[in-house]
Amino acid sequence: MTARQQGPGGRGAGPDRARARRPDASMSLLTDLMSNASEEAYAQKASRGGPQGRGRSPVLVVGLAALGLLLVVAGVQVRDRAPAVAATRQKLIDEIDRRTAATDRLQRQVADLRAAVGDARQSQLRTTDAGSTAATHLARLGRVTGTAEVTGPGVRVTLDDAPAGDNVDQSGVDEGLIRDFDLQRLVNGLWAAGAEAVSVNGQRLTTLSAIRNAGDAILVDYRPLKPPYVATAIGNADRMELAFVDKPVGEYFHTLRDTYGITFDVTTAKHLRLPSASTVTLRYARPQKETP
Amino acid sequence: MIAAVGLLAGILAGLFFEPSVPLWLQPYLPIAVVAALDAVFGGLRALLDGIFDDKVFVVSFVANVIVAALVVFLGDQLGVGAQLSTGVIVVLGIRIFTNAAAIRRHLFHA
Repeated sequence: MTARQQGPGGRGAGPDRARARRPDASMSLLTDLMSNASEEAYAQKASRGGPQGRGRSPVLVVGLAALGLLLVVAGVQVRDRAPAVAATRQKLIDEIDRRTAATDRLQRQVADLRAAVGDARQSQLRTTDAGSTAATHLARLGRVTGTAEVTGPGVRVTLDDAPAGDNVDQSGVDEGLIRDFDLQRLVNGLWAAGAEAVSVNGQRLTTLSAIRNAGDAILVDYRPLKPPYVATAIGNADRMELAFVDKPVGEYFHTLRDTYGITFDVTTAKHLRLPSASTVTLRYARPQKETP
Repeated sequence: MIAAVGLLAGILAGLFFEPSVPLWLQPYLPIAVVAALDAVFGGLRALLDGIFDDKVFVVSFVANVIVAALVVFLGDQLGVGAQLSTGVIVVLGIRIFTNAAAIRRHLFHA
């Protein structure tokens, strides 16, 4: 009591006072936290010698009921939320798969119809002499522009991402992924080596084809591709294969393979069948002779 | 005994009625659970020390939950909600560990 009466500046004599005057009193937060973790109220009440509840009072029952409720509600919350997130994700994936399948089906339909139209046109044209010439001309143009199926010898080049997580840099970007410019370089290399028709994962490339990135996916003609990326090219197989041994394109991919561990594989094939392109529609370009 | 009945009643009520937590309250639920656990370990330690008092336990439990939620709420309003949550978790975590260590010493004398 005397200590308290002396006021804040006074030097206390009691044991409480001595503890409060530790030299590091102003920095004792963590020490207090570690040493006095249990509720001091328990000790105080015990030292005051007040009547102690022995776990039979209704207050304790209500408190413990609230505790049980809180734990269960939190548990239920966590359990309910996880499946909801997974379900939404799964629903989106299903939706994507369904739409992709629908697009594929429509594209096959387009190809079938186009083939039917082509056949009908050919048979009509062949009824006259001039038409026959035109039909031959048309068929050749179709093979060149990519609107007709072609077969022939060539090479098949397979590119695939390095094993996931092997080449993640500091900012979390996976350096081992095949990017759009890798595919562009590959396709350019094939054209430069004399390819006459090129397709990537079954997408025939035309004069209007674009290869670009959307996020981590590579789009060819606005269709997303899944790795591995297989480019097939019809042309002089030996020449094209050679181009991937000593030309800059080949060195580029060999370097990528040695540095990052991507898959890069070139095989020649005697018989390759390249599908026709799904759409080649010119909206702005007009033939010159229409104008005079 | 009667305390266990209370706990059981709370758990059963939660399981049966599955009360849905309002959206604005959901961020504070984990913090509230940790605060409640702190009160529980404090109470257990007091029980083993022989100084358990039911009123102190209930008041510390309710106050812990409310204060922890309020601190995080304040942090959210100030834009440092995540940091304050971490702070609250760290402090309560240290207390839980210390109390758990005391309980362990009581039970196993080690």
